[in-house]
Amino acid sequence: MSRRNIIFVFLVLFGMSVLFAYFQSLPSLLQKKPTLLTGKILTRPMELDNFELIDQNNQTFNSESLKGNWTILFFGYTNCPDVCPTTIYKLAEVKNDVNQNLPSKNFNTVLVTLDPDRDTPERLDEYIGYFDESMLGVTGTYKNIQSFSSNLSVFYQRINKDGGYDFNHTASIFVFNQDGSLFATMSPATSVSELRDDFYTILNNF
Amino acid sequence: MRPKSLNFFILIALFLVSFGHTSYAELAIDDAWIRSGPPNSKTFAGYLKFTNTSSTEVSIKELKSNAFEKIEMHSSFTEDGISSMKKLNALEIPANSTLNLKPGGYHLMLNSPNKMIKESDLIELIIYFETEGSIMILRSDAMVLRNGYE
Repeated sequence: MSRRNIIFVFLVLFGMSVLFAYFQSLPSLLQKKPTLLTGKILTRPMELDNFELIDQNNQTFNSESLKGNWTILFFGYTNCPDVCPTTIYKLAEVKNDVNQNLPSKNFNTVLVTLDPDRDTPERLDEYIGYFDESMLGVTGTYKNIQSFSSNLSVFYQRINKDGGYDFNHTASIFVFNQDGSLFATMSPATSVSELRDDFYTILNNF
Repeated sequence: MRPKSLNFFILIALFLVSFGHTSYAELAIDDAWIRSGPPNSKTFAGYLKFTNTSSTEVSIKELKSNAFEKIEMHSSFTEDGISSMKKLNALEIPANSTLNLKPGGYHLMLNSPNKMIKESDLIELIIYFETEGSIMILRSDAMVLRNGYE
């Protein structure tokens, strides 16, 4: 075979393999990545640094606790009478809906307090037990709550007022996948049906 | 009799109310409820709908209740992803319009209950509002519910 023919065969083979690779990846190129109505899916799930918190049953809550199930987590405090119970109810409704329609895709919901002074495990037990006993309420030392929240870029600020204090804080809802990595963030200021649609988008596609 | 020390006269209107709806001339109140909470809660949130049927602005100045030490008007809002709460001195309701106090927005903050607040309790609210330079008083009942009228 002449040198020219060898180059020709090589080029044809190269061209065929490029076409093969292109058609192999075509379905995934054509498939649009699902998008959320109320937030966004991270380009790559983000693993968290380890953390050490405690739940309302005095059980350790750390990065291992996030593994195995999908987890929805948000920050708040039990002296917040408006937004926190509203978010708890919204998430409980979404959870009930998913449990009925996708029983294999159970997920956990978690409230992490920003107010460890007042929110002891006992207080969280009372509060969470009242609104949604299947939810986890998590507290810890100042330092551990701060390090966990800064890992998620959560901002919070104590606002003193007559006879008490409130918090301004990041409102986002954080979604963790079964590996315990941060998968998506959502806004709680949306309707139950939008949140529900977004959870179905995640659970049905990943 | 008109008290001379006040710039405006005070008219007290106490009504026997049919549950869920109260009105006095230009101001109507519907669906008043207070979110129940676990025992020993110190703070509760209340919600209701004000409808101003008059052609002038109505301003809600103050709320009182025998069941709570203090009632404040608040607004929850989210700005740049940060959830905050702000105390308001008054709630303005423009002419011929409705202001809906609902979870995650405008709400009443009911502090320091004088008694145990339980689900299905009816809590009396006394609402002081200003219209055309006069302060009026309207009474309404709010029901203690877990999750509002659903």
